Amino acid sequence: MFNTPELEAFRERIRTFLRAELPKDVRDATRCGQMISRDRYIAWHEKLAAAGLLVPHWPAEWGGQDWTVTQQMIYDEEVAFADAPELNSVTFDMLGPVLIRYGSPAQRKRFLPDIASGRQWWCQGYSEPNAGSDLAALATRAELKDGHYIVNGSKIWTSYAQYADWMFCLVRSSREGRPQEGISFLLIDMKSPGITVRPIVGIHGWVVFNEVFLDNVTVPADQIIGEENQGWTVAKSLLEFERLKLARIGENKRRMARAREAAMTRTDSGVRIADQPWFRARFAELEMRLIALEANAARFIARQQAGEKIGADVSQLKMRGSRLIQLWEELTVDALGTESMPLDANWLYADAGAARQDELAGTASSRRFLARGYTIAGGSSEIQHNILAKQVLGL
Amino acid sequence: MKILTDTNIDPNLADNQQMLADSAIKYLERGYDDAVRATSTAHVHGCDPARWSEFAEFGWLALAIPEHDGGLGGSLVEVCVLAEQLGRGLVVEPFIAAGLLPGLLLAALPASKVRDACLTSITNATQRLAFAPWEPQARHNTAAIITNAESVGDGWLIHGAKGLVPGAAGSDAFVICARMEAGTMGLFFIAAGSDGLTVEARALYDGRHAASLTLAGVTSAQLLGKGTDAEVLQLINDVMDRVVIAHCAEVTGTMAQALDITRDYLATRKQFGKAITSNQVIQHRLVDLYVEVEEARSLVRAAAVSPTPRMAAAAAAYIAHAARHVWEESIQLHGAIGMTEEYTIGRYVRRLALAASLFGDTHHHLKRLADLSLGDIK
Repeated sequence: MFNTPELEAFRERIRTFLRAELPKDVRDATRCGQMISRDRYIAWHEKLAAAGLLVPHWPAEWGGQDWTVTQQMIYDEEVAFADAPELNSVTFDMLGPVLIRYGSPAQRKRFLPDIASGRQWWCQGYSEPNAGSDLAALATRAELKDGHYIVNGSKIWTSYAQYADWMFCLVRSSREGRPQEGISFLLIDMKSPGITVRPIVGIHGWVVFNEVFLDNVTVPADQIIGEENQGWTVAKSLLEFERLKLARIGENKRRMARAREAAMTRTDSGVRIADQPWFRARFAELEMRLIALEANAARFIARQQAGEKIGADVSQLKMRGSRLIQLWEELTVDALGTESMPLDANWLYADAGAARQDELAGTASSRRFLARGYTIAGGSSEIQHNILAKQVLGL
Repeated sequence: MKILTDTNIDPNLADNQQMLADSAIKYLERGYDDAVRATSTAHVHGCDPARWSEFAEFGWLALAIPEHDGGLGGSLVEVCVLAEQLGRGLVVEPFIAAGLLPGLLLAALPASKVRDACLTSITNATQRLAFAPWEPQARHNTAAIITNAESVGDGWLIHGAKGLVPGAAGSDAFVICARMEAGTMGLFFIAAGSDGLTVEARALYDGRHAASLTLAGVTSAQLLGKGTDAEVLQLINDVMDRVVIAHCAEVTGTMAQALDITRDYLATRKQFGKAITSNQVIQHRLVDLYVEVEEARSLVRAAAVSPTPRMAAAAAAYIAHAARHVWEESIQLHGAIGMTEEYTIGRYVRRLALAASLFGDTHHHLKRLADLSLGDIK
């Protein structure tokens, strides 16, 4: 599918770069499934930015290289194969493209260079305690007063808020009309007075989620994206930018490699797990599903490249890709057996000074639990079913 | 309501593929109905010769045969585009088994009088051929050949048996594989009615016919080609991989149509005062089927472009699994009417149930995939 000579050369160039430039400690931590500090991420971002590989999918005008979706997918695959960390898609795949499309010239000039340099980290303030899948029920208020919005409320499940310099946030600016009509899209400096970030420790042992409290936070009125009360449109279009990537092909391949590695290096009663009939049957079934997913994603990409506007049917990629991630993680845990059970909380973080643990077993259980989020975040699988039922099957 | 997943809204299809699909759609819509299907099902050979001649006139039987052999030199992608429509139309005649497989196999063999004549007779429908790749002791394992050809004088004496071969009932001739001197195998042409050959034809549950062969001292076989075991198996497996991908395309069409029928029925039928499709549990189950059909279609297309053993195994395993899911849900979602002989969906159910293992079931192909991916068991 992706095997023209040009694309092969492209792949080789990415591979060579990653092999030469990815710092050993970052590669090792990623390989071990550990969480990496913000400082290490930023250093890696800067290296990528210098090579033009941090935001290559952006337009050249803003520091990108106008890559096609195919090139992006190859890049993602190579990132996975090289044990390089996944980049924060909220910053680079969501907010960046939204600014490029909807930001004012002043906003673009203000934010895009900082993002493209790799130094600025963004988080997404969408969900609230009473607005999850039903996002339009959000209640965090924003009132315009003397050229500023005064924001009150709270956001929850905010990934990497503890790393973030800025948050893009959906707020209720009007109670008139349908719930979707009174929402605005604000950019909020995380250093603003009145913001409190409360970490939420997950069952996996990591702090990924946070609760973000906004108590009379003052936001200059020029930090709104689009018109007031039109935030829903901006938020919806933002989903478009990353939808093809949500098949998570590269991430699935990374996990397939881990499951294989676990099974090749472990035995039961003297027989390799990779030679056990139960493992072979399950591995092959998941590989089959991955091949199907990849073929399906390729068909969407071909449609897009033929100039077709991709519609709601793309939801299926997210639905299937996210579920498959979970199935790989479960297979890896099963291949490892009881090895996956002991918990060393320090080992989960690359810089916490834990004694060396096994690179597969040390975080396998954390990853299996973390993977449950894939079918919940960004529109749960049930919401994806609803979308496909209504918008595609016309039910 | 026509499904949203039809090839005619897919911009990826090249023009000639679209024309091929359109011609099949037109033919099937022009009256290929249950009465037509019944004539082939009721025919002692499971294939109405009038239909088969029409297939030849449309060029379908010549599609996959190279131009230098008198065919149209169509690609596997084109074959799959056609096969999907034939599957959607629930065509009974054995297009894959008799219209595609023998031609692909013969085209892969060295030129000879008998081979060349066979290829010509396939394209103009003067003969219908069948290739028997499997033996009764080994299900779908093409390597498990016991059938033996002993050199006697300037001919061969063949003993053995071949398992159920789809589309083989009423064939004018057969191609079979037999072991020869140590480490070699040969492919032989055997005309129907040859001494020592018994053809046991059976009607299958889905209205198609098949046959198994007994070779008890066949002496009139003609050798089409021979080689080491590895060479011959490689040739057979390469052909069978392409055939199974085309079979997958056909099944995908049948699944898509079964899903359309099911969805339309549920949208019309009311219970508790509202359409059955207004229930979320029903909607989600239809969505799961829809996504599987879409993935199946994508997978078949990718496999047709690059018909490696890995892609063929993945496609075959996936389609077998999806076909079972679709037919089981088709019945359950319809309710009792889905179990009747009279109502349309039952025919799709029976076709899908058989098609899921006709060329090897999910387990067979997953095992192949595991061996390719994890290596043989140490």
